[in-house]
Amino acid sequence: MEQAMTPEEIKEQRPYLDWSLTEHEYNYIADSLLHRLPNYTETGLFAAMWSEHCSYKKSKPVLRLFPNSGPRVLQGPGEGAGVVDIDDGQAVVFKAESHNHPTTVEPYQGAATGVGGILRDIFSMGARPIASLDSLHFGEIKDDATMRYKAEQTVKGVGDYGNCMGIPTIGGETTFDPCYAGNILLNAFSLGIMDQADMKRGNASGVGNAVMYVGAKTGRDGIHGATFASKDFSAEHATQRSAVQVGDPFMEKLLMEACLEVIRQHPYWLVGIQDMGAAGIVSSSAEMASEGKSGMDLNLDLVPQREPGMSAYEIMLSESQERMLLCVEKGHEKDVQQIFAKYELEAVVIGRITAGGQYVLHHDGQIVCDIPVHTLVDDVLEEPSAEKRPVRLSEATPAPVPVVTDALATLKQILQQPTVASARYFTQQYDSQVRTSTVVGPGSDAGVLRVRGTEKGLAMTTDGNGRFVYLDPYVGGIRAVAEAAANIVAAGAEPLAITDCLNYGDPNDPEIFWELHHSVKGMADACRELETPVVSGNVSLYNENNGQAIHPTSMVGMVGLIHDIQRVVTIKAANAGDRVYLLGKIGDDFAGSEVQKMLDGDISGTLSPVDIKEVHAHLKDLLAAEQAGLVNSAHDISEGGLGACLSEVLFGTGLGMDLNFGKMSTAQLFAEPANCFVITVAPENQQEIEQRLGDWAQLAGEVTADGRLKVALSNQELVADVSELETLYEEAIPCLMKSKA
Amino acid sequence: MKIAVIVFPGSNCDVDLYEAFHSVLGADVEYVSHREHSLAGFDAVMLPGGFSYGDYLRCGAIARFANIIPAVRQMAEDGKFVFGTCNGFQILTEMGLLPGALKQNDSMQFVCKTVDLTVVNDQTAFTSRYQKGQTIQLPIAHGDGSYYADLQTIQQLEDHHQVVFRYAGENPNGSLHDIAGICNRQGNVLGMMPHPERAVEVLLGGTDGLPLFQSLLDQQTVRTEAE
Repeated sequence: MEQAMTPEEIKEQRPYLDWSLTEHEYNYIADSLLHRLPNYTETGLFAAMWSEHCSYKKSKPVLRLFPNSGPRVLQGPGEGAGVVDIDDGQAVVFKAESHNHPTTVEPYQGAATGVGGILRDIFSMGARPIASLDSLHFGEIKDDATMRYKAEQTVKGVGDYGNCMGIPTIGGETTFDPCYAGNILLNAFSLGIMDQADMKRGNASGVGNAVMYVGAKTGRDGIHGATFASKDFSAEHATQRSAVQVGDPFMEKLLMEACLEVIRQHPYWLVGIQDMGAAGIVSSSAEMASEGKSGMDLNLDLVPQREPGMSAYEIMLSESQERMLLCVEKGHEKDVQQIFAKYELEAVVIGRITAGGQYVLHHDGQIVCDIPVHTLVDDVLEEPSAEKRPVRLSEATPAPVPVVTDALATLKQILQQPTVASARYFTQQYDSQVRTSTVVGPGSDAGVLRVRGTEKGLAMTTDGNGRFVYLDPYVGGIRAVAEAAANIVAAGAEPLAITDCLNYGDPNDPEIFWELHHSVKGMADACRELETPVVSGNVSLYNENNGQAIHPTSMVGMVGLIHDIQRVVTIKAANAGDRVYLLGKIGDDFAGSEVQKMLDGDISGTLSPVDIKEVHAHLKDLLAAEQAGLVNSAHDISEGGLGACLSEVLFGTGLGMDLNFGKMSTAQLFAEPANCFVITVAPENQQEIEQRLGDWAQLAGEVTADGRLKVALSNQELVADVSELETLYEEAIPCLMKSKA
Repeated sequence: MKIAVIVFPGSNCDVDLYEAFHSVLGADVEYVSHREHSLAGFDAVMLPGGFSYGDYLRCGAIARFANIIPAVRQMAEDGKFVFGTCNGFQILTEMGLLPGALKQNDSMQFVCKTVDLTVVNDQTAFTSRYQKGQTIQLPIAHGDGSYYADLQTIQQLEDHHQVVFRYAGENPNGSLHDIAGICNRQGNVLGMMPHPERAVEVLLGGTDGLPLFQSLLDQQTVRTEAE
């Protein structure tokens, strides 16, 4: 009864094809690794561990392009999360992870468990999570009640989980584009802080040491989550609901407190610890054993189970949430149990570390799996992928200049586009202040926290612009990193490192693989120049619905260090009389812009190349000026262009601006160039800022007290009442979300 | 004045209350686990915000059965000071130390933002440093903050000046009479949905919560016969 099919039946009927294991891989496992036919449980374990989600077998060759090391990097990719030195013996631990497929099928639970998963990755390293961000990409919510429901539920899922955990969500982004209609993107980012001495890894070693299971019981939810994430959606996906997990943030809160107590107060009891994420017990235990070069012997009858009659296969592959696996020094099992009991949690010894490197599972008195650990983790066949430059790129020509006749009318319209408009309707559902360290919350370029007990601050941002990557994967990749760096520097922080979520379509399509390859190359080149190594991240492929792929969306999560938190810079204008500077040149950068999408109904064109060396030099100059206290506000130009940027600088301040941009065309007010900022500077610092920033800075005018935005362009003058603009900007999303159409 | 901050499973504003007293005001403050039975030696007890026991049942409905609760009730009876914010307010109503209940927000959404409040009663142990009628700004962050009680109870609260804070301007959750915080008749138990502990530092955007804690620290400690 234990095995649903005999090994011979598996070979013949090939059920593994449904689990995303190919016949070639199956044969390789049987012929070259095991030298026998794998049984049913073993085949299931291979399918999960060899899925793209767990093994990165397709993306690995491309991911090698990323720089992963640097003077501040304490831990790069390969662990729960990346670890970066922030001086004083402290470190930040951060990672972003996608939960796109679950969120598309069941937005509330998909989003909630996405947040839960990333938080476990952080505290499993020994760090206390102190902030979250999220990058959400939806289909259009106008005239689509289903998408509105999905957006509402996704946001509620993110909020309910983070709010209950008591971890502030201090920023992120929300964009809307038809390409995400069949495949929502939810990329959750979390950051934790620790003393470097507390760092833990997912390591299981020391013959005789205990493998302990802690947290929630194992149920049948989420079986096949990893293989689910490694397939396209189709019209059949309604039947995939059992692959979505259910979250319990209260359980996770207790688990977090208990794990942190063991890690920090009893480091010698604990050999290693890892979250049970994708592919549940099998991935956590096999990866820990592989890391420790150990064997492992587990008795599945000891695994706490929510329901009777679960097969070995189901127990091993369940993705029930809020579970952790610990490797505990022999003799300290009871001590660990006592700590967990304080939090009313069970900690159960389910097996031991063995010599010899075999992965052995017992269930119902039988051995159901007996294979070398390395076959699951290290022997995965990398899949070379065919790639081909997408035809659309060869055919692309520079974007036509959108026809903008009335600057004010267009500005009003742009400010109401959901991607540009205030996301407050969503973000105010997140507790952004709990833990009382939030200096800058949602609605800014970057979220900023102070580090309690020090003078330091941390800035963090998530940015993913699929439109740019779609139009030019290489330049789009550079721009993704440059945009994140711009956001960090705008806050007055020094960029440290990045994490990423690479969201793409089906990599078996050579054009999509080419997009992946070239955008990663762009990101890698930018990271190398900006000295922001990639310390963690994930890849989400197969983001398609009925053959329609999303825009390739490279989401960058960047973290920066503010050496003196009193020097933090916000996007908001501060004083009437301050000088207003435009940093950077605005050309006809309309390809992929919001104004192009709004007026032409679609995006097209080629992106201007970005000189990342020059970007780096400029960012350094701006940061130095901020650190010298010369900059009163800084905001980078992104979606909606200069027009939206200026408006956002003024909203909520009661101030206005009187500006002259000379030869700038009306349309250029909405162009979206790379590496451009609007900064305000006190009059007494005018000379010094011009000396420091040179040609990059163009004096445009000054901040006024009258609450009116006046902008002289080459052929017209825009005069707007800022409070009227602000109302439009604030009301757009609530109005759409509450509409009945 | 020695202050206890109770930590329930799922409390998450415990750190914020503790730090407001400890690092901002330099007061004598300690965490006390929900498992304890005694608050001997403490002059005031704080019930923090958060999601005690996950708030999967009615908010605060399980926390009221915690071991520490009889000791909290005893403090209130002894005339010592009891303060609950957010989930702490919900627990105080579930315990019956304060009347009424907190319902889900009218919007059916969690809401986190800074709101204007009017100080309605400046005669309590927690509000002596404010002035009656003063408008202050404090953050709110809750999904279930709509204060409700029957009309008679509301009338009694008004008659006895037990409404301490009212939302000024927009009512963020639909609470009756714009109620944001109430005290008991004796004025030594205060519950409120807004978070004064989040408004104690200029760096974090405001200090309008500071007078509340300073008012408390101004109070004479109450000694009971047992002590």
